[in-house]
Amino acid sequence: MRHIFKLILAILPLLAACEETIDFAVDSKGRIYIDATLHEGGENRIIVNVSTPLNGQETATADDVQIVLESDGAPLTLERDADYRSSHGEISYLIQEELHTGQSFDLRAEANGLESVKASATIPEPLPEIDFTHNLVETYKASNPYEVMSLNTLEEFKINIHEMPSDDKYYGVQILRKLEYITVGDVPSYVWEKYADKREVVEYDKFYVTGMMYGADLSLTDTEIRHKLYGGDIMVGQKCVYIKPEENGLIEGKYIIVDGVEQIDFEVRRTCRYKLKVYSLSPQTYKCIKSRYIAEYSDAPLHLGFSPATYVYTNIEGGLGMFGAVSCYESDWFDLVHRLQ
Amino acid sequence: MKKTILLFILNTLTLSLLAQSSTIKAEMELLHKEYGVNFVYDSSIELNISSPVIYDKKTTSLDQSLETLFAGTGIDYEIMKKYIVLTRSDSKKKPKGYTIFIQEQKDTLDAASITSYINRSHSSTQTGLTPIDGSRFRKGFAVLGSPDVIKEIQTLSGVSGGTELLSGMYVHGGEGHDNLFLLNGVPLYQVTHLAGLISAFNTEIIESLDFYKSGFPARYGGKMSSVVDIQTRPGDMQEYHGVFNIGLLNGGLQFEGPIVKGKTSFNIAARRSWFDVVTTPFNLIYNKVMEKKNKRLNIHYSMTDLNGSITHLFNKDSRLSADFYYGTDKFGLKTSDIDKTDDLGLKWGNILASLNWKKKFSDDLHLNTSVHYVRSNTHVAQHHDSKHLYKSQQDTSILNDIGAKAELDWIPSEHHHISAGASFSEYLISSKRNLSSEPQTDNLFSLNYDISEVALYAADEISITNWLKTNIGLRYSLTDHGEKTYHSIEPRAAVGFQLNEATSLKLSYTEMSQAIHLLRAHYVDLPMSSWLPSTNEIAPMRSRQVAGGVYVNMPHNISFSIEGYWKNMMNLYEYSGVDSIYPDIKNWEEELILGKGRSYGAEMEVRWRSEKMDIAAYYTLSWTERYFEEIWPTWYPARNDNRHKFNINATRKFSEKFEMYASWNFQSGNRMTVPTQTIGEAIYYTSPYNLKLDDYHRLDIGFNFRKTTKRGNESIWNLSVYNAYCRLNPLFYMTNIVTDMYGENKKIVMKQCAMIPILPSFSYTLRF
Repeated sequence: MRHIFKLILAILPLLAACEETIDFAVDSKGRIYIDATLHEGGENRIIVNVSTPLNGQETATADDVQIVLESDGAPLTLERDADYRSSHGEISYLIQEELHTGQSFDLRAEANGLESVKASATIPEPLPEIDFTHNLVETYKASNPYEVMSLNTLEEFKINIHEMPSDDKYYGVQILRKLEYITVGDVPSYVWEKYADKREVVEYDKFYVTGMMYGADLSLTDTEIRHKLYGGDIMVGQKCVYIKPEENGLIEGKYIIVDGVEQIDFEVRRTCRYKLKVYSLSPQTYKCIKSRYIAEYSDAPLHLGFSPATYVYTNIEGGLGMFGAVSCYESDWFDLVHRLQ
Repeated sequence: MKKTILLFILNTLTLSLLAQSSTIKAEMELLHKEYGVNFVYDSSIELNISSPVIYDKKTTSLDQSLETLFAGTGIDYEIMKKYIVLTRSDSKKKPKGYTIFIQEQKDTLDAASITSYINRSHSSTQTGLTPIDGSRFRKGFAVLGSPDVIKEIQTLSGVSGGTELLSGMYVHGGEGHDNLFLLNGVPLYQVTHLAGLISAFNTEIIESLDFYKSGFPARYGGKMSSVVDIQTRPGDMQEYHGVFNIGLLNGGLQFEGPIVKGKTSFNIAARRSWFDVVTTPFNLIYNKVMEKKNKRLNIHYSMTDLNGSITHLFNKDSRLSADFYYGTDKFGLKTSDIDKTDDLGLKWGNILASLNWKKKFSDDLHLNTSVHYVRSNTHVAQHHDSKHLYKSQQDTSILNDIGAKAELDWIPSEHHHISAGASFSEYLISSKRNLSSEPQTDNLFSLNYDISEVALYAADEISITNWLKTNIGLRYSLTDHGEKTYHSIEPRAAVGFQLNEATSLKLSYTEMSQAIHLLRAHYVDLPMSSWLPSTNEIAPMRSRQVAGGVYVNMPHNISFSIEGYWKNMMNLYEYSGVDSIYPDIKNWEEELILGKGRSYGAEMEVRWRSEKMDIAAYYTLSWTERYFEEIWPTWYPARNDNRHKFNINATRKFSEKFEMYASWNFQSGNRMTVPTQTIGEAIYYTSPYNLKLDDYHRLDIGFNFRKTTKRGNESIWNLSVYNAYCRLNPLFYMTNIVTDMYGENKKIVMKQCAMIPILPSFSYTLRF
């Protein structure tokens, strides 16, 4: 019987599968990459790089890219940030002028042998004063299909932005969580091993901060995703990074914080403080971020050719990346007790 | 009135000469047998009406018999050599000419060849219509031994088939779920079995099929891109007979006959797959081999469909029919080992029931009324059970469509042909997801919609002069969602110029709307997709299309047409969630993004028919594009932007016992999005659908071996070879980013996987 089974297994692939590696050419040259999110106040920077074609050769570097930024026809001053630590050859330019809401920008960049790029952005009008509530709903144990136990905390928020929605207004909600670890009694070493990455932070300044940007009406999912905006990682919700408020301008949402736990009935307790950030995103910024998110985190079989169109939006004409603009409302830190049991 | 003029070549049937009463049809059969004459007639002529016995070989000539037979019936006859042409006595529109296509005689009447009257669409204002006679499905073309409606349509111009074998139907750049499938006038929602491998329509009971891709008559609405109007055969009013067949994928049985002779008949057909026969021993072998490892596997699939109809003739002018369809697919996969069990079950299908009454008040006034109930359902259940975890997910989606309609057909004068009607449909849609796991509590979410739709239409085909005709129509529909009401006014207009007996020019403009959407995360026809209605946030889809062309009937039975079209599509929706299999129904409106599409191109068809040969060639040159602002800032090519499509089909009858067919299909490759740039760890896509895949082509050939059994039945062995020269057409692709040993120098490696090499198959059919 075993031989019959092996025979069937041997014949099946011959009958039913033929696989062939194929050559294809889509891009032979790299593209100019721009990453910027302009806002009022603070430091504004533009990151420039050149991508490498997957089946081609690198033909230029970020140093070869000439960049011009104008606002209302007047050029702005860009100064290369010598302190910027480059990880993949990118260059960072700091904008020397103060930017303000409502200001429009045109960006052009070119390099020998590469397609020139251009992009535009306008910093949205500032958000009005925002009312919000943020509450702990429940805490429960759960497990995922990989049988990793976790302690989930369901929290909900209500935000009234006092603005009526429209097609060109997109909002991002970011909830920052500041953690403090407190030990009670003796903590087994394996617990700290588990939290090794966090302990570093704890030891450094006693807390660390994660940002969470959530989409509208979040589903009860334990999947978190992470987006690389300039200046660090921002975690965004399962859905998307924009929120369209209801008719009354009210944003409501729920989200789950997932902490991996295994046999933890123990001695580490954490206290958290929270901060709310609400962004007003330019439509292009929203589309770029959403596109990145879906392209990166969709589990659709993009590579099989059966899926709907892949999100590849960029507002860099002829190039890659995002030339975005946001306005931001930021609350003070507030308390919400969250503890491991 | 159905305008198809059909040619019936009547064949040998043995009827009792001693019968004291008969029907016109039965008497025609006897005349055919005795005098060798064939009858040509319009399908709207009712022949199953009572008739005196007129046949008496010793005393009556053919002329006398015909005169007696048709006296007072409202039917005129004309003897043209071996053919007798029947027309309605007071018909305003006499046929101007016939193209008569002869096929050899067969054993039974219903096995006789029926072919379309070639002037049908030529002389009207209709564009974009391909009528297909049911007998065409029974001639030979069979994928894996089973003739298939959708795969037949895929060969026509203007239709992109999508991925091989998956019954995609992207008409004039459409979305694939925007085709209106009507079974005896009632919409069907799940139109395929086995992820698209087999269509839901049993070809044994199909009488005729009209496929519209432009110039939609005003009576059709509710879908955006095409109409497939399938009529099934009523049962034989005189005799019992049927068909048994078995192929590589499934087997079927069809049986029909009178309940009350000449008055009431039934027709019933059933199919079932027999994959179970293969999978059951496979499961046994696997489980035996893996017994020591405590691993078990149970995989099974089955599909079943059942068509039934009962037809009753009150008199020659009044007919009542009840139709029933049931189709279901079941798939199960259960795996277990020592400490866990996974179970996946899928079930999907339709139930359809309808009652139809056709009344002819006069030769110029016809009424067609019907009521229907359709239930389309999908159910997906997954369970995971292990020591530490129990998790289950159940998704159920149900669409109930309850409706009624009335259609009036009126010819007030020789210059007007007016059609008008009204319909009402109530859609009850529910979609439910139940997630449960331990120790987490259950999480149940459901959506429920109650949608009412009313549609009114009217159209007039006006013969302005002998050479100029126009068709002016308007369709209005109202869709009420409780909170929001959508109104849709859809003009339908066409004009036709008859340049001469053989050549006509036509132009049409149509608008269609679609208030029901298929929420899907992929292009494979699986039950994870749900039909959901337009809502406050999701507007009905809409198309506007202009089509026009030249249509020529050339000598030697050659017909030629060339059509151009331009189609705009508004309110298209694309799924934007990250779930690849199960779209999230809770936030489904937010996960659909709005866009639009356009398609334009030209199509050419050439057909030559003779007694023994039938060759048809179809060529399409087209462009299909999409604009979704959130995906890409400008227009981009659609997945099925197949620039060229060419099909040539040929059938050759060598003898009574042997015929052969061949079909060569070519299509420019589909499109796919692949990453092309990299920075560090990140990969970037530079535009949507940036890669055109390899062209698709294949040759199918087939042979029919016919034989008459000792009992006088016809048996047919069909041998088909799919992909005869073993072209490895890709079914799907796999892309991987690879690096060198230092993790640098990224390259993309793409593999195409072809699942369908040369594939011989056979089927056996017995007609009794």
